[in-house]
Amino acid sequence: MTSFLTFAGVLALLLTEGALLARLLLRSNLRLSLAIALPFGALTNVLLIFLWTITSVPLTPISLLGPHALLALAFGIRLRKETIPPESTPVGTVPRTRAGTAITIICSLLLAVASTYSFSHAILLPTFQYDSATNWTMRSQVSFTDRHIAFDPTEDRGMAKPQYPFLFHALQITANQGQARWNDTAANAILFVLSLGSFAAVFLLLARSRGRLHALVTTTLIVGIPQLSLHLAQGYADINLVQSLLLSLACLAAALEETGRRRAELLASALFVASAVWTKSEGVVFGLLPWLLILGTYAWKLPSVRRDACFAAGVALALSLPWELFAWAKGLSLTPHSSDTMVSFHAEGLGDAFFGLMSRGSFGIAWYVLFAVTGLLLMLFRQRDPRIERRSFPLLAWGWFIFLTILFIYLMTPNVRFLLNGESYYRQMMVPSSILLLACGYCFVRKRERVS
Amino acid sequence: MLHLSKLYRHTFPLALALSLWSLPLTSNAQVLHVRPTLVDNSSMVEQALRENTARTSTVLEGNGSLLQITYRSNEPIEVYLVPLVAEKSFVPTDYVRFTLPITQESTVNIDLTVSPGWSPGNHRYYLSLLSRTENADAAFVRVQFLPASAGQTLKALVRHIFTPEPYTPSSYHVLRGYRFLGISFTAALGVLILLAATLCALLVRRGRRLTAVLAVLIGGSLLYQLRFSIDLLRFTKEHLTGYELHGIYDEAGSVHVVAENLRILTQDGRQPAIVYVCRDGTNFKEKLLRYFTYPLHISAEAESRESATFAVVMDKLRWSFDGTEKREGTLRCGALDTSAEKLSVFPDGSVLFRLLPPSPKS
Repeated sequence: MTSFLTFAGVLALLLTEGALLARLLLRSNLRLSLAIALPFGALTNVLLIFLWTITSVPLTPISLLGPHALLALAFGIRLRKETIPPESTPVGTVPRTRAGTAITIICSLLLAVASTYSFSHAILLPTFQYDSATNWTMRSQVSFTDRHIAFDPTEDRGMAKPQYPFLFHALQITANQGQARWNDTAANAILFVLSLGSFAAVFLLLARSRGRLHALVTTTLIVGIPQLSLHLAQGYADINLVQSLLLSLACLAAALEETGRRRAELLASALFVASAVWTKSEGVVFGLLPWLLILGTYAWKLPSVRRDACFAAGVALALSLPWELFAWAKGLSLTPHSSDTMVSFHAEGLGDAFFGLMSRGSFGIAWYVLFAVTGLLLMLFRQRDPRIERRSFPLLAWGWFIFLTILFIYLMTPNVRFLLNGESYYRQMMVPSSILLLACGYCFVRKRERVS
Repeated sequence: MLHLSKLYRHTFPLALALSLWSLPLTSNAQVLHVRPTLVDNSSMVEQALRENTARTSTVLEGNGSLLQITYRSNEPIEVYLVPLVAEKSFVPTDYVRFTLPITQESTVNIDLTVSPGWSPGNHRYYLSLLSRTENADAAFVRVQFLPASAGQTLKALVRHIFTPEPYTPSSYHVLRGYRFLGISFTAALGVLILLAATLCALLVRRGRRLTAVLAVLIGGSLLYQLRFSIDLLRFTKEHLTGYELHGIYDEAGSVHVVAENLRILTQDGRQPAIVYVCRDGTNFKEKLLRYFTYPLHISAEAESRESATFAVVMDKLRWSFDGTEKREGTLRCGALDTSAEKLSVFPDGSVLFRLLPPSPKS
């Protein structure tokens, strides 16, 4: 019981801090502020632990929870001085059509099943996955015991991959503060709450501009990708990378909707892309790089965005580069595997790359839908069809950029072995599939909904 | 699934005296009921390979949903069967297994439709036959395929679509996908919805065309997800039941309970806790044990046996202990040959020993 209450206290602190930040930054309502609280809290937490890492301050309840409490207090004081106007864009209501009701029931059912699976495997059952017991949760435990982030060059203590950025580990370490010894349930529970909040925030952000039904269907299609549903059991950081990038895309899309909060929404998008960089090495190539390219495109095409875009890009770089510089200075590999930079064509991977997406079970029929919908959107874009949101269209490029990058990585480098043995190729393809589904969701304009 | 390929590679000469179609058919062979099951985890195969030293393989060809085998054997024969999709390739998730019991002469009907790779028509099947001893007296008297009716084919199709997705939570990387009658369900549904969407684009009137096309694409996706959600619920139930009621969590077995015991035994810190893991197979459970007992020193390296204070025997076929519960005896397992006290036996068969005192073999 004490253990649970301690965890609940830490969680409440992080949620309060994140919710206040969200309210300050995005002027969001209570629901969105609460949903997006932990994604914000996870970033402030990793930046705090990074600061303590470079200054060699031990990771203790005081050094970790103290600054979080101060930050929450500062945000609270600042918020008291601000007048937050009520939500200007009303959230769409669920249509009363039979089809709408049926879709709502099916989507709710699917989300409930995924949540049940996630809750039971993350909280009721212990850590299970092989890499969790080495690279991920094990490294968190070793760091918690050491009171410093562990960068063990050998596996003598059971942890591997010191070159991984540590947002995942940092959150698990903070969630364990106040516990007598490492608490596996607390470590996984905080990640469960992070996932829950992230997907709820994606839903609410999309619902704000496209209506609830539209958002519900899009969120269900993303969460229901079979491989992604399984990763909601936690233990690997791929799901956290997906969440950060989805939130970054949702905030970027919101910034283009002319709601009068562009600067803040671009800044939020920048913060989440920095979160992605701090979550996995792939965050740079799948997140920061395409995000900068897309932002640059908008800045070039829309002069009104230019100033805010430059500010957001500056923030994203300022928050992301410290990890890269730190890793480089420490002599850590900047890629997950040291052989990643040897380029040559591996034709033997072509079959698996194709059939892995189109005939195996990891993605269901998501890629059939994505190829078809992208083709459809291209056609409608060329016809200047009013049913698509032209400003959201470049967001598709983000997903396809990641898709092509992954194909390059697995067909042009020795990583082909992780394609042929059915390993990381499938985990990484979760990123473009979910990004593309959300981008497609933003590309269609809101259908006028009947108000009940 | 990784270890299924091992079965295929084992084409040892016939160690057991198995001779296909070697004897004339006898008319009054007893009919036995043998139910084949899908091979849905690699530990089952690993265990079979460890326990059965004699192995052979053969390829059968025929058209039918039932494989009728008349045979005799003086010891049980474990059979692994998979339809071949090309000259030598197969889909690992198509493997089925069954055991032929001891008999002087009997006939069994094996339902081939259990394998999602089965389909009507002429096919080649790869069989691996395993027995415990190399001098087993076993022979196949007659083998024939019994044809499938339309009803049986339809029943097989439905059964295949509802065959659970093979998955264990330790493997987060790839799902093989559902298959029916040897066809990928993903590919079939994907192509079907693309065709349906194309038809909508051609036939539905202009104002509703986009809605119709999107409805088909989204509907297809939700249909697949509904099918997968059945498996998500099944995984949840199986894992929770196994863990809460039986102390076994899928492939991790009882490693969590072993870890809890080790933590309690070493919490006073009076003796250095070095735990020697004696195991066959992969180091998966060893890694988990290291995580759950950190900072205890857990190792399967032979060098660590000399300083080890505890030993855990897990997934080990050949080992011995001549003492009894709570009584000293000699533990012989891998590099270990020392007196020990047996402390606990766990639901998955793992055994925890206290080593008293360590006495290396060499």
